[in-house]
Amino acid sequence: MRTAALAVFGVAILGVAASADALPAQSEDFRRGNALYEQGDYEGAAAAYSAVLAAGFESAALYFNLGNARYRLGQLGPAVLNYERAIRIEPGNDDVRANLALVNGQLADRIEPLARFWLLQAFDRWLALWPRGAVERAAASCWLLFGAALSLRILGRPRRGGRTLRGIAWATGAATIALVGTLAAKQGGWGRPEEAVVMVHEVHAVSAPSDDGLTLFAIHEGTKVRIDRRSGDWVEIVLADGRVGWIEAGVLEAI
Amino acid sequence: MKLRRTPAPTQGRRERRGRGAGCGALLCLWVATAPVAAQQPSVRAYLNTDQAPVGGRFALNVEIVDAQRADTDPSPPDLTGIARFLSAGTQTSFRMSGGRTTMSLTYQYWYQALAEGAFEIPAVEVSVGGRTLRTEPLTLLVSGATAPDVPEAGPLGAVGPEDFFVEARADATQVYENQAVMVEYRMFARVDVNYASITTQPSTEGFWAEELASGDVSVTVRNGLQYATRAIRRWALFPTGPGRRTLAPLGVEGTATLPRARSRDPFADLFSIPDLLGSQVPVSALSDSLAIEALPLPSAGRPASFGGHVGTLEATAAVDKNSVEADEAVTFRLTLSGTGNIRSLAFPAIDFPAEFEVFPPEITDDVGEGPQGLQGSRTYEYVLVPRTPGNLVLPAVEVAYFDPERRTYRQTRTTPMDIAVTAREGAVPSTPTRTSAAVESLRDEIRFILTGDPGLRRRNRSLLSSAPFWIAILLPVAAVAGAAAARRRRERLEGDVSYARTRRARRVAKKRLARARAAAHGDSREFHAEVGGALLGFVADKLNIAEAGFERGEASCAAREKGVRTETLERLFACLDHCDRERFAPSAQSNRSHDELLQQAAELMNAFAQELES
Repeated sequence: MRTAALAVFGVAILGVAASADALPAQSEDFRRGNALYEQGDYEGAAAAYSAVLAAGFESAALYFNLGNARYRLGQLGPAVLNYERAIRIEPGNDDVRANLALVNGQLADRIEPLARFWLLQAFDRWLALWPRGAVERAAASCWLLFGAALSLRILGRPRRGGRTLRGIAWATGAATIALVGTLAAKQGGWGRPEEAVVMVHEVHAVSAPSDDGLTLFAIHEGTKVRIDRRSGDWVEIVLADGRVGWIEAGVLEAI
Repeated sequence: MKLRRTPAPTQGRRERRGRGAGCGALLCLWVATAPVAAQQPSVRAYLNTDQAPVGGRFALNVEIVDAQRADTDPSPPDLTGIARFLSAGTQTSFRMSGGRTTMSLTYQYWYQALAEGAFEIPAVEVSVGGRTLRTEPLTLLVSGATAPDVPEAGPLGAVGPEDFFVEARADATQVYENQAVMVEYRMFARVDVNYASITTQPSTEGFWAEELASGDVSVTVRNGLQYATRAIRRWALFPTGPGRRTLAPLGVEGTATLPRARSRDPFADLFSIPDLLGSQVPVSALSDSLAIEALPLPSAGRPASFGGHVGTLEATAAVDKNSVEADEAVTFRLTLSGTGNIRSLAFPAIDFPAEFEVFPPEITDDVGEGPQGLQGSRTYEYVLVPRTPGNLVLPAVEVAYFDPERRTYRQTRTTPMDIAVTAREGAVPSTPTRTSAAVESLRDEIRFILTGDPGLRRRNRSLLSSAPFWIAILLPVAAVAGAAAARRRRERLEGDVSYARTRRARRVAKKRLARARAAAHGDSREFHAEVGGALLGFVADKLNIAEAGFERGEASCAAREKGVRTETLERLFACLDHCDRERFAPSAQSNRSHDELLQQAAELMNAFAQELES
């Protein structure tokens, strides 16, 4: 029993150490990208940031900087895509929101979004309130506190702070459930639609998933769409103003 | 030119005998009932006279026979250089001959001959019933003789161009840009005009136009004839730039009542009811066009304060009070008066002292027609609030203009004015305050990259594969489980005496053995008493029997029942015996050392406990 626990612990430590091992190299790439960006070599900066992504790492700052480099290179579609990805990780980041708003203002399509149901809006706002790391730490703290309070309550003599401990255990238990739910929604994307950004200059949305479909409207690079359905190589997209059409999946890049 | 079609059988009767061959129709009231034969329409042109003097008038008639209307009104031939177009009219007539009714429509164009010579009047094209018909060209001989003063009445008995015309007049045809030109269109009528309206009006594009009041009807004598006259359109025009501009002719149409004329046909009046009242005839007239040339303003000697005004100007300035307290308003009134285009005066540049807070001025215009054309004044009323006390000076205002009569630039200036500003009662003297304004964005730009710690994480990393996650998950679970176990043990120790003794037995025994070890080098009796007590107490605790009055038989029965081997028991009892012996009758040479005894006691306890638990 004791040996098994020790083994688990050892494996865990090794895992943490292995994942931490790769970070210095990627951080170096990130800093190199920043230096190139400051020198005006946006092409080089974008390549450095992309190298970090290719190594399997991500962060809001990384996507934000990559979006800036793409914008400087005049690639509005990739710029919007990276800003959107940064927002997914850190919805409350003002810098990302400001740049995304600016780039959206320069896109060819201006779409008036439909009003959303207030409850969904409130849920989005709640999700946007906390960065993912903070929710993780808060959930872990509440869970540990819950365990400690419960243990003390079990060990303690009745009539000696039992009521307080029980209150703490209840509160931290409820908070843990709420935070774990939030985390799951953030991490797993529960309730979040599949979204994508148009990456080509112009694409015509048609009425059916085939080349024979009637052209309904045209959208341009950088426009964000929601993907509702798939049919072969075609996806059914929904614009922010509610218009629906089919386009080939290849022109989109998922956020 | 719009022509009025007039189905006027009565007019035909007004023509003079022997003139207008095509119009010499016998007119009967019952013609309307007679069938109109369906014939191919034909068209012809003729002049009312083959010869006309220079300045004399002639009429070109275009007659369409066997048609009630033309598809479009034919356009009068362009006789530029030969004659001047005066007016136009139409007439419809019926003619009966041989039981057949012929209907004809005649367009009549009046011209005034301008040059001497023989001229050919070009053909006129008329579109009738979908066909295009052409008249024959005509020849006109214009002689050098001057036209007779007495105008002839029109061949149709209608209103001639001398009876009704519009004259365009400008007070100057060559002016400087932005100099006033007074333009007047005056209607002259020798007939009783019932009403007249302007049908075409020249565009004033290229001018700043100020419309002036039209005049009243007056009577004037011209060429020995008496006319009723009225200015129907008057403008003061200011060319907005240099160049030649032409004002298109102004057209007027209306109706006039002709006095009843006695016919030589005694029966005519019987059937001609309108003649009793006088007949209504359409009248129309077109003025000449006016050419106005605007000269550019000279660039030499142009003052800096020149804002484009041409005419005369005089500037005066006044303030409502010369002495105020700080923060009290002063009204500064600048009046620019003179002739010319007052309404388009440029905003005067006034350099107010910085101590004044200046509010945008209220502008009042008073412009009217005067003896020198358009004149008036413009007043700028500024509200000034002095913010700091002191003797402040309102500077002179200088305004430049171009005087077209002297052909030079001139300037007018006001006199500077002193304003004594006293400190306000109880006010703290202050430096001029800087008023705050919103920060103005010059351009939009993306925000700079983030350069701090990137906070990189593995993409698509699942929490399930992270060690801290599992530690965090399991730690409270383990803690709760441990707490539960600890609590259970404590409760058992508290409630179950035998369990408590069993759990305590080894600890108590160890304590006694420790005490024995301490006494090993001292009193041998005490040492053996402790070892024996420890063994006995251990066995009694483990078996939960009283230590006092310990019965070996009972103890060994109980021990054997719980699985302790007989051999162990025998060794245990042997050890106890040895201890008792050494305690009460110690031998001088013991074959056992104290350490061996302690070790044996510990072994026996271990063996006893193991066999008891197994």
